[in-house]
Amino acid sequence: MEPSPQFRFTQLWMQAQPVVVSVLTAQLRDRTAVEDVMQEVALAAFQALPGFDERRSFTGWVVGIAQHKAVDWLRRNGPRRSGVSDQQALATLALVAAELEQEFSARELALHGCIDVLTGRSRDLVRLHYAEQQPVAAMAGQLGVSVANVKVMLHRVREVLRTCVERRLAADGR
Amino acid sequence: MADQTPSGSELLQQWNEEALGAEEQARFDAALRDPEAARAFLRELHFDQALARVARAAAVRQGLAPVVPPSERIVRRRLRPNGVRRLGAAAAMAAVLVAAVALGMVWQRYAPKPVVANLVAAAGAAHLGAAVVAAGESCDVRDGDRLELPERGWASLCFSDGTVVNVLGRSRLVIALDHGAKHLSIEQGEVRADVRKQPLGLAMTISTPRADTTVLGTRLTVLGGAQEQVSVDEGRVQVQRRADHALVQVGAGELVQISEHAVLAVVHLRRPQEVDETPPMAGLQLWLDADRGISADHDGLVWQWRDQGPLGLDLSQAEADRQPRLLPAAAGTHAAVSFDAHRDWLECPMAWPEFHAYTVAILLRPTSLGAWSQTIGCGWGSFTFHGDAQGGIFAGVGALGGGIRFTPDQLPPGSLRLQSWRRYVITYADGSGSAYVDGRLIARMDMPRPVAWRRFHIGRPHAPADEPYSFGGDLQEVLVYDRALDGDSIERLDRRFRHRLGSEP
Repeated sequence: MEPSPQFRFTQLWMQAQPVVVSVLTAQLRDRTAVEDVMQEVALAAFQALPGFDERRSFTGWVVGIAQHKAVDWLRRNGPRRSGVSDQQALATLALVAAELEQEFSARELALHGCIDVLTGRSRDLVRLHYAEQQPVAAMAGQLGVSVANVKVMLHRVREVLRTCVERRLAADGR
Repeated sequence: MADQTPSGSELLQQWNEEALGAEEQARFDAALRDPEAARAFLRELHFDQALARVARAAAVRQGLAPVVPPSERIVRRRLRPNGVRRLGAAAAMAAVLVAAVALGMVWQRYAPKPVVANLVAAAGAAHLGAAVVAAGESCDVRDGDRLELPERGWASLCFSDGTVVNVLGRSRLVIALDHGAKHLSIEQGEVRADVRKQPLGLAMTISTPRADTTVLGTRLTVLGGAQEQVSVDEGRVQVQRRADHALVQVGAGELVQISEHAVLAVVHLRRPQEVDETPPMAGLQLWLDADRGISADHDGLVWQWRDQGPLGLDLSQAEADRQPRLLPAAAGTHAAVSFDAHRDWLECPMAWPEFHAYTVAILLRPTSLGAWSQTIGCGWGSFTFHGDAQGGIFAGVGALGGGIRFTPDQLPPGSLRLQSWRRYVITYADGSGSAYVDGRLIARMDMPRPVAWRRFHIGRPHAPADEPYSFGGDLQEVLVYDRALDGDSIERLDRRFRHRLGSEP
């Protein structure tokens, strides 16, 4: 049975979403702007889905839509913090983004397994900074250490997670 | 524009700078025209974003965060669709959401049970449900999974809140979530748990055939099977016998044996003798103290020596035949970790913060001497300490492949004495290294700037056949600082060591 357009779109969108967020972040920098534009992109892509050529990369296609939406957003709101605006750089980002879709999905999946390995303060640091989005200065006050120390500790946790992800991907033969 | 393609992390670092000047921004943009740089940059951005999503999911799973993140709530308030086009779009979005909900329902029905913890098999193959997890491998543990370990196996259950449960050989247990609360049901064997503070109303329970132990956050050991007992290192737990609901509180340094009918008597264990003199804390990076933070099996084989410093740079060894042995504290003496001459070693796989000055203090008793005996460090170029067959010491920064470090030519002969506890301190700062033995400065020399520390080890992981020494000695304490301690601090550290050895009046 042919899947419904909604079902098909959800499947494709979920796979493309991490790549699209990364590209939009490069262009807009502002997190709330990225979230706004992501919703516009989802709507636009869903509306345009009947015209989408299945032989093309969905991610590449939707990244194109996202870049146009980002330009519209910047025109309406003006840049809050300047992002990448060089046309050639944006074209390169769009080009490489489509290749990274599978890799990003695999990495994120591996990261789910890795994060549970963290213990103690490492676990707290990740929760405070990444889950609760606390700035480093606030964390330093809360943990009773210097800002520089928090940055070092966060860097170390990232490296641990990165190594874990690489190991898992290598073990999976990716 | 640099000749070399900038790395993803370099680009992300530039990106994270609050205000790039026009020239810097142009350089940054130009770098991204290179597909390799663009790829690396997107990977870095994605890693950060994925980490936020995954951390959020983990926090929600543990009940530590609300389902909707703060940023998302703000976005929802700000969205004000207007006009017919927006309504159409909203309808389309609704269709997407309906599809997502439908998918969610299917997912809920067929989804695997929730992940409770991550299992790391350290020695021997762990049987988790139908899966076999080989030593060195890890695996998600789902609600209701049954874990079984072979006789000389051990494994760690790592929960997302930082709780770690070490499971010893010949253990059989079931790991479950009971309305969000952690629950271990031990059929047989021994677990040593370091439980983080649990949320109110969600106390962790560890059940054995005869009793239920309720834990709010503490370190304890639970033995289940023919003999059952609960001993507590820190905090307090409540133990309730199933047969008669007899209840007893067990505190730090206490133990209760759970017989079938006899009174539940709490026994006070002897606490290790404390050393009055604390080490200097400023700049402390690593603190290994054999009196605390040791995880060992019934035979005293040490699989983990936990860092008491701020960075949690724990050392471990997964293979049982390479694990050093704990020499427990006895009357008037402190505990030590004893490394065999040729096999034993421990390693810290964690990354170290970058520093270019250091102090390494070691309280060591050689039990055997040979080329590369008593090896401690990360390798030449950063820091290495080792002995030779004549009791000489090589130590300091050195250079990759050898070179500039203290050698037996600079240090007095017999600096390492068989069966004799001695205090060694090596410092480095601003191009100069100093060596102290038993509190006295014995040598100073110029050394190169050290590279970053990585893979710190005690003993040699890969000793060649022609120079098979790894360690051969006992250690009570190892401390590392990110600065060269001054004379007063070195004296304070030495007082601690002397007090520990009983040679301080």
